[in-house]
Amino acid sequence: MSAPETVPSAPACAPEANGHVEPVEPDADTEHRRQLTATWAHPRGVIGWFANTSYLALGRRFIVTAFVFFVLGGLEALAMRLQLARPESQLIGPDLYNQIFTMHGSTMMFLFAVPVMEGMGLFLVPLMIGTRNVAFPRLIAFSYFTYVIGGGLLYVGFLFNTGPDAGWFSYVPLAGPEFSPGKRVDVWAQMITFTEMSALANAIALIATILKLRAPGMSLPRIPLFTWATLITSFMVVFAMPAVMLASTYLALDRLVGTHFFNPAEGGDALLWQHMFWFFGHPEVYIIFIPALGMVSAIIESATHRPIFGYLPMVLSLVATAFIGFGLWVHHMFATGLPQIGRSFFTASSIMIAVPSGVQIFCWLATLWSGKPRITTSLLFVLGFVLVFVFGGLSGVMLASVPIDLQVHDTFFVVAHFHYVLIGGAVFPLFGGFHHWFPKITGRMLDERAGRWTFGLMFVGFNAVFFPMHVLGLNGMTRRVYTYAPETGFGPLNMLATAGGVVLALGVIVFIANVIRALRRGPRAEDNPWQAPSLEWATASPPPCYSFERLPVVHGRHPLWSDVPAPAVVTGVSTEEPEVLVTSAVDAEPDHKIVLAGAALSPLALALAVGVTVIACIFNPWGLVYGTPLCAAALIAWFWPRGRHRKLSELS
Amino acid sequence: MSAPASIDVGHLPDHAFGSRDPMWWGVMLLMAIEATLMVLALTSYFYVRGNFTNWPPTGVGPVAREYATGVLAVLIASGVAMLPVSNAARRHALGRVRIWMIVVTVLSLVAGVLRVLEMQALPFRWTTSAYGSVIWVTIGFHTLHLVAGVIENIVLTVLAFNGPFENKHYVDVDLNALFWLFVVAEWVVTYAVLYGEGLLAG
Repeated sequence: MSAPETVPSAPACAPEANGHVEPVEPDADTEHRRQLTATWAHPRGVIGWFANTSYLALGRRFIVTAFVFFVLGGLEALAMRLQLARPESQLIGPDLYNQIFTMHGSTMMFLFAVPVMEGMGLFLVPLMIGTRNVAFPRLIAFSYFTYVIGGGLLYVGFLFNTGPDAGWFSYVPLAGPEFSPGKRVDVWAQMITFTEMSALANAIALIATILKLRAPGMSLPRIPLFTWATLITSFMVVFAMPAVMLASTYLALDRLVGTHFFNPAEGGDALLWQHMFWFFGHPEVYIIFIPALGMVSAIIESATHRPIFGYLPMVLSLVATAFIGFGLWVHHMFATGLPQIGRSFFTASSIMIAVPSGVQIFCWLATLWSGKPRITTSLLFVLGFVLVFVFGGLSGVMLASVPIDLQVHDTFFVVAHFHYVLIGGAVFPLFGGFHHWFPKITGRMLDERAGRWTFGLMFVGFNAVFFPMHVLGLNGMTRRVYTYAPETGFGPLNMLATAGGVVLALGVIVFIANVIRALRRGPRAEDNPWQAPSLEWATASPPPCYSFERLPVVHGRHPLWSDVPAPAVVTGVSTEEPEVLVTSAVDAEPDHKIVLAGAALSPLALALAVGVTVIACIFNPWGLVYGTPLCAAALIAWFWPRGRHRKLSELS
Repeated sequence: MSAPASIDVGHLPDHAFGSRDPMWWGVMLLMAIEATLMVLALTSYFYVRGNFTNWPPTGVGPVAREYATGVLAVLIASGVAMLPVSNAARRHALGRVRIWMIVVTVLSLVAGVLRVLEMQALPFRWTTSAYGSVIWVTIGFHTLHLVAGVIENIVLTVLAFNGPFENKHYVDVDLNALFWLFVVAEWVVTYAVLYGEGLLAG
């Protein structure tokens, strides 16, 4: 089946980005492209790098930076595995081990999983919905700098032996002023402030973009499932992240200025921390997982070349998962002594969330069943995801039951479970997504054979690391303890897990080598190498700075799989200013046009002002008082009009 | 071809008010975030309450309550004065925007001064007990919103007089009114919980 394109593909801004020689075109088109390039071009030079507000640049930056943190978190995991390979190993002492498992968890959750999903969303969503940038370009630039400052703070702290050591969840009273003196936990708490600010900023930008900047005709029932997933995730971020920001603020205040939120002697409550942390922490799992589900749908659709089976139940399942995801945080606290009614309620909701996940699995299986899937690397990762995730889901249903949970609480059974869910549920689809969208993001093709090796090594390695942990946990091996005695008999399975860790790491190394090779001399990617149906494949690979030469009009759920009826494109949007079309939230009817912000340094200034303020607070609570005017000044600079005098009203 | 080859949007306006505008969504989401933060802060107020036999352990005192009531009254007045601002902005009536923005800005500055007096009059510190901590931090959050709102009011008032005032700035003025009404409403609820212990609770 051929894939006619809705939109004439446009050459990239950089002349070398598309190899084939175009026939001589009418002057009007060349002039049109020249003008678009002049308007949307990324600013040049070092200052230009900091001033860039294009989703194409920032989406890429989020993905690359998050991947760097993924590698760092992976190295920490390997260090732990090496320490645990043999009983009574003296490789890493207890203090450093505490820091390493805290760094691993914090890195993977806050600096890798959420930002990488948002990076994919930032890069793909504007293309998928047929517009030229996100609704708030400066906000995503601010978000990126804030994220880098937060991640940098955590790692600088770690290098100076001030890495947090109370777990990625920082339970009080362990993390409180009495049992964690020094600055380690403060570094953690302020890293949370930065990363949550960044996530919230991205969520706002993505929601407004998805609801208001869609191509005409792309009504809500026509948006791609990945875009749905990003929209739903972003709403979850809006309501989940404030809980951890508030909790980490309370923690920082308890530690720095002597408040008593978590101090039972003065009427505070340690469980208040757990409630607030998990009210964020459980939705967080779905914030990571739901975008991955969107990637799975996109990959299956283009590999089978069939519309996804059950679009409506798919969307409803995503929404249901998001809602139920807010109603089961207490299942992390079964061991804290809850009232019976609370346990029953949260057991029921924890089992209930398996239902929408099950619906989606069956819809994907039906899609695969009814098509003739091409076994690409992306699809291999998806198939691996289905297997591993179902397995993790099963141990999840077991853990939802209070008696089992009490038995295996704080053992490696739980570690095995959540790595099956998180790596199986999010990292496998993400790697599938990397292989799927790599041609669009970079304009080069990854090598499929190396891709299959990546999958094979990662799949085998993953199961060899984490399957034995189920058994170790059931046998009573506890988490977060730096070693174990030889007579426990845990040695052989731990050695197997460590060997598996090395294989898993090899898989990631093959992937990195594949990426480097492709960037250097990989074959150029066509516009739509997978014959996929959604709009990001309608433009060049990589997309030009103006995204689309002509803004598309959408007539169905799979714009690239059918002939395009008229009208096919939008005209009348300015090419001289970064103007975009705003459409109505539900039906995507053209409504009005707005000029977006171009390159600006104010996001960097604000991120630095916030950075100075928040980091100063670690050392002196007055930092907030001194820093606030700095932030206010940066904000005013941000919002102060540039004075284009484009349409003076009745001012004169 | 029966249908035209393209949709021409050249005639569409360059701004819109309310939910048609992307920035409206941005402000609504910001308010959703801040409201969630405040709801959780008030939840922790009720959560720590379970740990005290006498609640409140130390009252807020008549002076602080008077100032807090003053903040409430002035904020409500400023909220009422914000309605004509929003109205005028939607009609592009710059003169009326200027007049009412001055009224709102002055009232919001008065509310800020009363807030400082209120905090000084509280008869306990955040280190006194978990009760003191939650009161101070909850009022602190509202104060941050208040300060942000005051700065925005001042900036927009200056802009309304000095220009350049484009169509999109009417939208900004309208959105600022929305955010200010949120600051007002937030204090109505927070005041009722923190200072209304005799009314709401036993």
